[in-house]
Amino acid sequence: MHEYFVTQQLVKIAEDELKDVSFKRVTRIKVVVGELSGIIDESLKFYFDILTKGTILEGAELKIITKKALLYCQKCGEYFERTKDFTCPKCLSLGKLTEHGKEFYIESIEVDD
Amino acid sequence: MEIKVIKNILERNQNAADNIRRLADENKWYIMNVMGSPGAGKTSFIKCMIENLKDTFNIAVIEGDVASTIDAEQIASYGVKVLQINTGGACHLVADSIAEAIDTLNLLPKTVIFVENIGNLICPSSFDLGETLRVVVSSAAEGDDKPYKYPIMFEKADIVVLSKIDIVDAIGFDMQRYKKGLEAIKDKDLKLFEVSFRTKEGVEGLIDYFYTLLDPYFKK
Ligand SMILES: [Zn+2]
Repeated sequence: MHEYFVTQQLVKIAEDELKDVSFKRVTRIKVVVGELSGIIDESLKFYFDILTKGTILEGAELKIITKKALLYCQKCGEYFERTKDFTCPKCLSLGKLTEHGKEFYIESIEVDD
Repeated sequence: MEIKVIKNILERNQNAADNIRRLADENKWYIMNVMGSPGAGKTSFIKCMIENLKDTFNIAVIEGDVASTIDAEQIASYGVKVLQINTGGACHLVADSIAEAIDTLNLLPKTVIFVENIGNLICPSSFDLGETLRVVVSSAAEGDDKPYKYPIMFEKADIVVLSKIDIVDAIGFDMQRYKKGLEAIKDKDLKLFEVSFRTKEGVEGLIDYFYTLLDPYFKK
């Protein structure tokens, strides 16, 4: 549900970025979303359509690039996707969370010039 | 044409949070962001802390709630400053509304500020409120799998208060599994307090801990 707030931020960032750029229309905005970021793709899309009405992003495609969470095994050095718990598939010790899976940023904005 | 951006979408909130942290530092405010599921015991935790700290420290409470004022009314009865923020449907508090609340409350320097966040284990974890300490209240009633399901909430916690431990045996809560999950998440030493606000088991240790945090903070 916090997608409402973050979509507002997203529109603001895009407006800022495009302030000094000349273009006809925004065609696409690419957003990277980690599995653990707490952002739900469907909600993001839902609010994107509503909140971009009347802004420079109206009609643009929202492209979401999903990143899987990866855990790191400190014992054997393996990176692995979590299953039901945090056990390393290789050596069965406990894995740690990493930055993989927490991403949430705008990667790029595509415009027609 | 493609314009590379790579910009954190939560940047605006982060700026507001950094600002609060600066103000808190100047005024010696100790801000605790209290998070957890609905019914986990966030309000019980805050009430218990007020009862035991109010004779020693200035206390204020910022109550986040989707719509009601039930918790705020209960807390006001202790005679501490309390302000209710109704988010009107939003699932978390943002730093901007904390800044506004602090401004409205007109707080004395050297005040402990409890912020009761909206009850859920996902959304509040992404929003820095400029807090000094992040507290996650997690109840035994919710089950022992919570650290595995909501790792980010626990990872960002400075302390975890496991409440309702009086029912652990009755519901077959697997303490070892719960702790193993926390251990995997927390890099630093894990600060876990096992308490029951109903029977008061473990509460004393929690209060002692807060005295050891707050005393030196305010004396500095
Ligand atoms: Zn391993």
